[in-house]
Amino acid sequence: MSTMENIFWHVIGYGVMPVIFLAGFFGVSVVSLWILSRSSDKEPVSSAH
Amino acid sequence: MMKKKLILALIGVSLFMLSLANADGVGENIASSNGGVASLRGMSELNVTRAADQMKRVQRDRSPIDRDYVYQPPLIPHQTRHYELSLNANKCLSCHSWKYAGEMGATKISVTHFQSREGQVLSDVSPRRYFCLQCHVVQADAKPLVENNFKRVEALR
Amino acid sequence: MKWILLYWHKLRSPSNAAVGAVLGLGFVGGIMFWGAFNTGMEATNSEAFCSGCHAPIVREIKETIHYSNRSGVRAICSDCHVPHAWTDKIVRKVQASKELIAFAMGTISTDEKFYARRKHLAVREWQRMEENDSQECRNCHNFEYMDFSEQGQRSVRQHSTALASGEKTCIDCHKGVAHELPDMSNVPGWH
Repeated sequence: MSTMENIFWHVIGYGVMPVIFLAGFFGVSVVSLWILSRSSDKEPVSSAH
Repeated sequence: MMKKKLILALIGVSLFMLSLANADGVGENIASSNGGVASLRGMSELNVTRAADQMKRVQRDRSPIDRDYVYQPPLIPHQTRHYELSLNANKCLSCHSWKYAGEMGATKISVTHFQSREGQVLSDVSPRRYFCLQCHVVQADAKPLVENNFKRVEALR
Repeated sequence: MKWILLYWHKLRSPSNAAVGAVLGLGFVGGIMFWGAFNTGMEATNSEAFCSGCHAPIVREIKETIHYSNRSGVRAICSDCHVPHAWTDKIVRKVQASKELIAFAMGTISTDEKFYARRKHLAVREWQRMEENDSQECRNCHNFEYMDFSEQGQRSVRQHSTALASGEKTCIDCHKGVAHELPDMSNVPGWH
């Protein structure tokens, strides 16, 4: 692997780490919001904006 | 006449039965007996599966082994497990070629390995000597199968 | 776009649920996500997965010491080819997207194509291992704890000189320890 390719993969690889973190956060939050909406966060009227 | 035939027949049958009773070998079936002959399987009978011998091991590293006769391909004193010897790669030459032998502390292959069939000297290992294991063998901790009293020639003892 | 705004609105509004419930959901959710993520990644480390494209190589390893040996201590594909440290592992996994493309293009989809490409692949791996000082070997074979009284003469000679001084690294001599070799012409140290 050339140095160029090496740098390329390291940049992308390290760049992906916060993406994983954020994707995890959004994924868990969407699921949690849905769980909460089923129980305690029930709207008195169905959500219509 | 009939009586004579009958007596002869009876004698024949009883002789046959006697021979059966005196037959050598274990059991009634003569085909399972080894007839008292020892073989490489030892004395086990033909219809018996004898227990397997212990597997022989190759000693990992020994000092070079003296030759028994002048043109003997030296025996391999070390293990060669998974050393690749194919058209793609020759692991033996990684240590025993003239290029690497000094660095690796190994015996160099002899000049005979550079000669073609007509005796012409080539610039690299001759293809007819490339596959080392056709002549050089690894040594396992096995006793000779047949006892012998071979002695080396005086000059090599 | 509407869904994103709705989602953002929900995130910013206070919840009717107890603080403990929300925190608990987050905590458990985080653990489950992390577990699922790493389980998925480890699944791409299994022998069966690697075998999908690299079947000839996985066949060859069956005769080697890393597959079956006296003590039963062994290594599978990922133990040697995927770095153990998390950050290096992620970099390697991202790099594997290149291999996904090769899969889609069928670069080594038959045995013949694989054997033709074998030297190229091998050279890349050797170079990678040389550059990281055979780190994957050292994950199990720790030089500091090698007992030279247990090794054979030849091993002692090589390990106590070239390896100890740092002049050579494991892969320099132990090419082919786990797989058969490609055409070794022009490879240093080989005929």
